[in-house]
Amino acid sequence: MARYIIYRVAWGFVVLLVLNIVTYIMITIAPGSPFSSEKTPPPHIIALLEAKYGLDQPIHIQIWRYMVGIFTRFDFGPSIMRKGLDVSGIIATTFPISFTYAIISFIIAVTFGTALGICAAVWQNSWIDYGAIILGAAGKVLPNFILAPVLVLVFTLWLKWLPGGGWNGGDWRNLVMPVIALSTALMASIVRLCRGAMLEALHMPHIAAAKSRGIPFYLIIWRHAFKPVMLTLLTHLASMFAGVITGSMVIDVYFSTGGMGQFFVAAAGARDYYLVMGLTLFSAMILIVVNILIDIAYMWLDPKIKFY
Amino acid sequence: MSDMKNSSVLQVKDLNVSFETPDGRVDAVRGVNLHINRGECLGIVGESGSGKSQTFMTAMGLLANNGHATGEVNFHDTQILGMSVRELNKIRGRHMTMIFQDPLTSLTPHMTVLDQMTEVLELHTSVRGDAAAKKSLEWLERVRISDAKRRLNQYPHELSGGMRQRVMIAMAMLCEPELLIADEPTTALDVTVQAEILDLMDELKRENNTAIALITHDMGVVARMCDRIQVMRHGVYVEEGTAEEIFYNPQHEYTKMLLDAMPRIDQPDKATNRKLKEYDEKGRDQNFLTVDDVRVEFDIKVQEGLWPKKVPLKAVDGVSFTLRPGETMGIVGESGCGKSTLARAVLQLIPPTAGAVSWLGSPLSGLNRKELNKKRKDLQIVFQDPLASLDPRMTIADSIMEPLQTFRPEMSRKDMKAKVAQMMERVGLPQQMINRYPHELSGGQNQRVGIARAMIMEPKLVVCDEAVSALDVSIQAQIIELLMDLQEDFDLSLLFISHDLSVVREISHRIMVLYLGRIVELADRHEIYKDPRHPYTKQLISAVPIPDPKIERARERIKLPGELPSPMDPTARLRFMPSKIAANELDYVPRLDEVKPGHYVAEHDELEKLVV
Repeated sequence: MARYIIYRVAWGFVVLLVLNIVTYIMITIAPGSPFSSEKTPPPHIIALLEAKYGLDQPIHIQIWRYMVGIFTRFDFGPSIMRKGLDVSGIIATTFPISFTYAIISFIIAVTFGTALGICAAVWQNSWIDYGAIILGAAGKVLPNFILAPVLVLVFTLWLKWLPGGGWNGGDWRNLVMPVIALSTALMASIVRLCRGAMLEALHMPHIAAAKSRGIPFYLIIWRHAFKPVMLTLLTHLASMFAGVITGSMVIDVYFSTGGMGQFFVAAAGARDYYLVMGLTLFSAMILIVVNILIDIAYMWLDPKIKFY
Repeated sequence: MSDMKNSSVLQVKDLNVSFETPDGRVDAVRGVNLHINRGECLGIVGESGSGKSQTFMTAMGLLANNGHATGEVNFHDTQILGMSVRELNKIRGRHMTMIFQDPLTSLTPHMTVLDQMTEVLELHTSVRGDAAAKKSLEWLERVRISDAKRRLNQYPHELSGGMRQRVMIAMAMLCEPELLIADEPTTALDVTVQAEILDLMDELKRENNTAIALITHDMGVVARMCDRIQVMRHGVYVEEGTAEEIFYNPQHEYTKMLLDAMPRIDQPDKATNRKLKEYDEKGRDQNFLTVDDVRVEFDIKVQEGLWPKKVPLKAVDGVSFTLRPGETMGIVGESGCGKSTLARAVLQLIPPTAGAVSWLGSPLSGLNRKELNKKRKDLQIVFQDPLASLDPRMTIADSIMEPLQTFRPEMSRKDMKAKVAQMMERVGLPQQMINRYPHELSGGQNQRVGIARAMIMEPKLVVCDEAVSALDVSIQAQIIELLMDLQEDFDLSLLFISHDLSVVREISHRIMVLYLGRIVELADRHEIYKDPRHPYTKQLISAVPIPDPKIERARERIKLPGELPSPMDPTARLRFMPSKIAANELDYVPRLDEVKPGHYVAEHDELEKLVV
């Protein structure tokens, strides 16, 4: 087990290294530079600026310096767009905001989605099943960038119950709409996934065998059928979590929460190399960690799995 | 209840079970009556689709959602049909238990043996905690699981098939039920394991006075186990009687047919209407197929030290034999003995790791793809599952025609069709089926399609890999006859792989017994059954149940200690030479000696030293 975790963490670093090199190269070969705006400064100024940020060096030296900074000092370099701020500082202030409502959305979606999906399968062809099917379809076809303005229209403009954006120190009123907007689609996929997995689990021979032993239905669901459902769900959770991270970027922008997403979009527009790369790599780190945690959970849940 | 000696434990009156399907109503069980007395074993015999399982699934309240049952099912004097699940749960698992065909999928995969056993005890009895663990262990020991204590904390996938079925039985017996329903309990098991499981059930029946309902298709198993027998067909009982009545004086045509079609290991040429033509060696090409020291190894990842290590698993470990034109070689052995791998290696479907296969005097191994494809015309294979080995989107005529399109593209479509029609007729498929799809055909018909496809190029060698194992006995007999007829017509050579020793005896001229990738015995078909020399062959033959109650019950079985060991175990291949293990010669490879002309036996210790 310990060996497996070490192995996975080591691989995580390799993935980060490769990602680092790829993003660096991609961003430098993209046309434009941080200093090519409408009023392009004279060439000698650009040269000075590039020297200041180390962009005049050959690319492999740049990448090397950049990686050394990240892995030794957790230093993602300076922000070009926001003078005086460095990328790690921006992550430190914006990440907690995005992460707070992303994780709340994730937990809500997983909890309610699983419960509803399982109930729908257990009472197949009942009103709860039909409700779950409708929700599963509706949530899936409604993208969050449509849902968010509808929510604002209803709760802010008409009912005047909730603020239309901002963070306000994480007040619950500011959280409600971002969380709904972010969790609906995810919940819908989880409902569909768990419903299908539970229906499949209930048709397995060991369920009939458990019934033949006189085990009550609720125990059959809980002890004999729930785990396979969890395993199916777990396999999808990693990619779902990635969806929450990217989804939060859109929500950040829409609700002006001051989260990472806002900076991401702005940085991409301003060709702020270091900020874009820093945020990309940081998100990648989060995803790698989450993936490792999910695989460990998988191993713990399924006695058949032995990782090498 | 216990003093009423002859009272029925279970009584079924006029039971009807039907299913609503998209294709309309299907009547699976039609007016069935039965009763089972205390301490009695009732055999319910029938082929697939006879409704024998559904009768008892209904009794256990396990009917599928689209099923509907009418009639009466009484457990003692309580009507249990239509009972609420809550009420039924007080009876099933406690007084009435069930074991299933496939012990792997019938155990909850993510729960340890102990958890699953104590769950039953906690539900139905007041036994808890350590006492429950103790009782579970007691039962595991009673069903003679090796190393019982360790098994408690293992998961089903860590146990062998036989052990899993023992766990199922132990779990079913925990509350000492009055009735045990066994639905094909040994069908998925190897014959030696089957023998042990049947012995165990018989013992439990006598010691605990448990009534057993044994649902099976195997007349041999019934002959061994059952006091009374009911024969079922198409959802109705056709005949009922004591074991002696059914076997020695069957009244119904269907019962007679079932008994006739059942191959017997003690009587060759019985199941089929014709006899296997004895093989005449004169004038035969000796260079037909020569297999010389073929080995197939698979790399298995084993965790050892810091990094996983690849260890070779020897699936086929040095097998040599020759096959002559027009001859059938039977290959028998238990699961994992490498019989399928060997056949695939001969056909180069799996390239052998070492050794040579020579075909008509030229080597087959080491050819490139193109050269090999040319030879494939003469080398065909028929698989076990007829439905799975046919493309569901192709009509059967297209499936049969495909080899012609591959090997004889110059042939006109019209000629191909004519040839397909001719071949279909030859294997007994009606002409009007030409445009049908595999799912519209029965298992036996699909297997005929598989055979027609293999035969259309008029090959010289056909491998039948468990080709009749998935079929009902009556169909099985017909397919064997068909293969014998085709052999004579086309002078075909067959490699006939089967786990069923009685079937192999019907069709093969010579028989090879494999054990963990090595030949332990090879001899003429009659010779090997009349004079088996190797302990493993003796054990296998003695484990096959004979469909004759008097003979079967009087027979003495040879029992060797332990289960089939894992091929990864270095001492496994010396299982029959413990003297070499004792002498610490672990690398010793038993020789294959010719004890009589044509009768080869692997070196082994004396049988007396091996049996417990």
